[in-house]
Amino acid sequence: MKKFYICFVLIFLMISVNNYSTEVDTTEYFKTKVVEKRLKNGIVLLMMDRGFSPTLAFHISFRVGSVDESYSTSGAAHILEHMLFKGTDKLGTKDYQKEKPILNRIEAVGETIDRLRLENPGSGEIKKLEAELKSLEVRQSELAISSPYDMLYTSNGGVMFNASTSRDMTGYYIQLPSDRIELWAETESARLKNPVFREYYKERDNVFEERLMRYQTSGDGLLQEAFFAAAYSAHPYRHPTIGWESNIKYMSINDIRKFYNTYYIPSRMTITVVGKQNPEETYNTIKKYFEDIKPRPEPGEIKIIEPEQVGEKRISVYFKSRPSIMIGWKKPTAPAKDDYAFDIMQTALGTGKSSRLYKSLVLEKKLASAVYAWNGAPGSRYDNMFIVYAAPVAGVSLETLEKEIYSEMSRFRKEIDSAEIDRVKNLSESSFIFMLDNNDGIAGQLSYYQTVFKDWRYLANYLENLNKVSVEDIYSAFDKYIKDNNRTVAVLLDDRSVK
Amino acid sequence: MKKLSVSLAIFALVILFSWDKTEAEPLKSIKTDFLSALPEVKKHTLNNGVNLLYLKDDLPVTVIYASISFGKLYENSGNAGITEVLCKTLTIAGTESYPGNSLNQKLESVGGEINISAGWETIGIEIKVLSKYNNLAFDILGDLLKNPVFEGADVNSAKQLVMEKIKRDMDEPEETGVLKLREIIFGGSGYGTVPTEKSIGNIDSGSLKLLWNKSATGGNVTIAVSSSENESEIISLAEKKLSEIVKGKKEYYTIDREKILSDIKSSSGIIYLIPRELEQATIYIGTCAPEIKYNGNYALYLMNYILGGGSFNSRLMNEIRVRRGMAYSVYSLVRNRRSAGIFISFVQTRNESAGEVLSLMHENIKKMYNEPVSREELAWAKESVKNSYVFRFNDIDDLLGNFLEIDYNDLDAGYFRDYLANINGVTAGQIVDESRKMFEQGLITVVVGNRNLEKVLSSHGKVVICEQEK
Repeated sequence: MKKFYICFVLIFLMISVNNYSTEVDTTEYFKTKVVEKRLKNGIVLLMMDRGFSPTLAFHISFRVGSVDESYSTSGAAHILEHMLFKGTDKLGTKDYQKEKPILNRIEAVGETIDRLRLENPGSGEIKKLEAELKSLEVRQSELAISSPYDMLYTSNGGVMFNASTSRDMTGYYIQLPSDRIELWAETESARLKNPVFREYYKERDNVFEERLMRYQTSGDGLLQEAFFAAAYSAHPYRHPTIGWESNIKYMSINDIRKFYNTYYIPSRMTITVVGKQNPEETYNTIKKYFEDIKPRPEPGEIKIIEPEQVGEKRISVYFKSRPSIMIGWKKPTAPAKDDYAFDIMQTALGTGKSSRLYKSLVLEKKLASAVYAWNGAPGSRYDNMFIVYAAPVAGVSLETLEKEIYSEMSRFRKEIDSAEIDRVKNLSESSFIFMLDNNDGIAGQLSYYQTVFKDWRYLANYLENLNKVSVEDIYSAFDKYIKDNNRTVAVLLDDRSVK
Repeated sequence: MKKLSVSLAIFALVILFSWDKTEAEPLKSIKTDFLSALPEVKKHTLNNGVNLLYLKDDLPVTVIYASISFGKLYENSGNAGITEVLCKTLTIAGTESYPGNSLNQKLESVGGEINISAGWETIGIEIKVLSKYNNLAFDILGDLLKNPVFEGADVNSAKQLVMEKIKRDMDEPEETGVLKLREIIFGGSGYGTVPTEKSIGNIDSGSLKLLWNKSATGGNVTIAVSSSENESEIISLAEKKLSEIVKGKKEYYTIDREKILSDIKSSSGIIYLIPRELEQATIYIGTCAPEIKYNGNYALYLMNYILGGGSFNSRLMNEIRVRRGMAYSVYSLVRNRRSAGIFISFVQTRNESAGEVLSLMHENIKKMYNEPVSREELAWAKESVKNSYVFRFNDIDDLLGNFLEIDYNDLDAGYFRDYLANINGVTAGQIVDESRKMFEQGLITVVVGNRNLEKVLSSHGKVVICEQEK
């Protein structure tokens, strides 16, 4: 549930960073402040010197996410992200020469157990192999130093050391005092050049626990997963980033290694550093440690295109939680002009307490306790969706709520005018400026746009482009995509109320 | 203009000289002279007692944060939920000059934002605008403090929305578990209040008006402003828009610590099981922690860092997640507030691992007061705190937040100046002593999980089943 709400917030932030203002020329601000360099191997480096505190926010991102997985490797990008916390042949080990053969044997035994569990679950071999795996893991743990990066970074004042995987990208983050930049560069470059996937099977179990937490103990988590799986027939946006339960349970370490070798390549990598710094020195430090990462062939974009939807899709999910509803329409992603029109729709309909849906459904008609609209889910590298989520108050049926959402959207279509568009642009402008107050937020935005749209300037030019959207553009986008046969509806029903 | 005596430049010098260089320092320590370069927070007191903190911002943005001393810790079983209802009513009913949703419309039409939030100790009103709309922002704040509208229909809507949120939160095992934990530890008051249909039902326009008239008074309100506008302009605006707020004095909550400790003792060892047919069990262990001014908090902070607050290298994380692969989410925390505090340890794990995880949690907690932490662990925790201290002063919100903390808690002006020296002075023996004092008060365990866990859990203590209303 929390992730769900965070998602709304993040998406709102992502679309609202832009400029057409006379208050602060944010286009100019970014173009002046961002220093862009490209290393010989293709890594893009973005730097911004700002702030009063001697700290830096570091983001390393790769243009790879769950959208790049196949059916058999669903969840690989996320497990790989977890495995990048396990050290290298030098960090995280007491004696790698002794540890390596044990790791090899762990892999062989683990892969055999997985195969037997799938193909011959009654095999008597499984128990023996499980015992061997346990004993090997004990021997290996005696040679390993767990969580090595965490110890190194926390000792050096690092905070917010974390990573994330989405449909579109994978990111690794930390904030450190500015004088630790060389430590960071040395550590992260080694981490990416030569990762060792130790403690794999335990970490895979932890990922399974994460899945339970996010999707199998939360009604809205379950609803969101089911919604995208129903909305997309062919495109891999239908798969949850964390992977399906069975994918996680049987994910092969070899598949993770292949995934790493294929996608963690310099041409897909962006490094972003924001905070108090001398960009020239930052560049030299990063060049020193990252430029020798060897380029590898670009694997190319995925070839699956979602077929046109030819009728409404509707699903129900039952869980022990109060009901809610998700309604979505497929539409083009950025930089299509229609995408900007949908950004306007998102804010007009669902951002703030004076937005149309909140005002009507929550405040006036008292049908919903929460309502949100967002554009650009579940990812933005490929065509995506415009979505409305609502939670009814007790006693209001989902049917009534759904009907009212459609009425409000029709009313929006009839009534939208330039004054309302101006309100939206004002909100976008100020959100953009409000966002400029912290290193990590700015680093996240630059990194996102460079990674997903291959150009951070999308961010700098956003408000200018948004400002070009007219009422007619909104009519056009609305009429083209907000149609019954392009719609997916998922309802979460409380199974405690179902006889 | 009365400036705060806490000069950050002095902080820096004292920190530099107070750090004990004889301690083991495995790494080059972060320099702390950055403190002398931080922007200065200035303090002004209006005639009616409203405290105004001001910090210059380079961006053309004004953020006004009004902190009103009343929060959920002031509640009891009779009025549980009143802080949330009050905040929701203020949000949707508006004020005399900006009635109903016109308040939000007016602000949002110029790209502004307002957020009124119910905290444990304070109600926060945050208004964010581009600096050219300062006048509007102060006008709205002044009207919210002086002339809020508490119409019956809006109060009823607010009550309905708050109740809906509570019910939805209760569908989440983390929320259900922590609410029960706090209820047991604090006996249903303050930290342990549990809003119910009945307690929310008792709230009406009259009770909200009474509460607001008592709370939104000069001495009980502190306003922190960051703006590109000059200090004198901000003071002048504040005087103009806030001068009609009546004088008053700071209101604080009280707690009956003896009763809390006696209740904890009598419930200690019992495992409260809230049946929920899910694949994953949610486990909480907790107890009451000291108030913020308690000297032993430095030792407890480090204890918690080593136990479960220090990320992957903390003991709980290492034992449960890293070494055994039994959980994704594992942590512990200690939160010390003005008169009350809480310790919480949390893990979510598959039902079949719940018994083993519960044992590991108890074992590791006990270990904190049965044997001293190692020299390496203590050095790591101290170094981490010291080197990340700069992040407590990372942006304007941090700087103003620190001053609000000093203001509400009547902390010594040297609190932030001496913080690192106090951390550095903690010994392994003190960690044992303070852990013992806190944990031997008793530990409350709450599990949200399958009903059939009762059998497994009963080998760890008496299990009491807590049926939840739907």
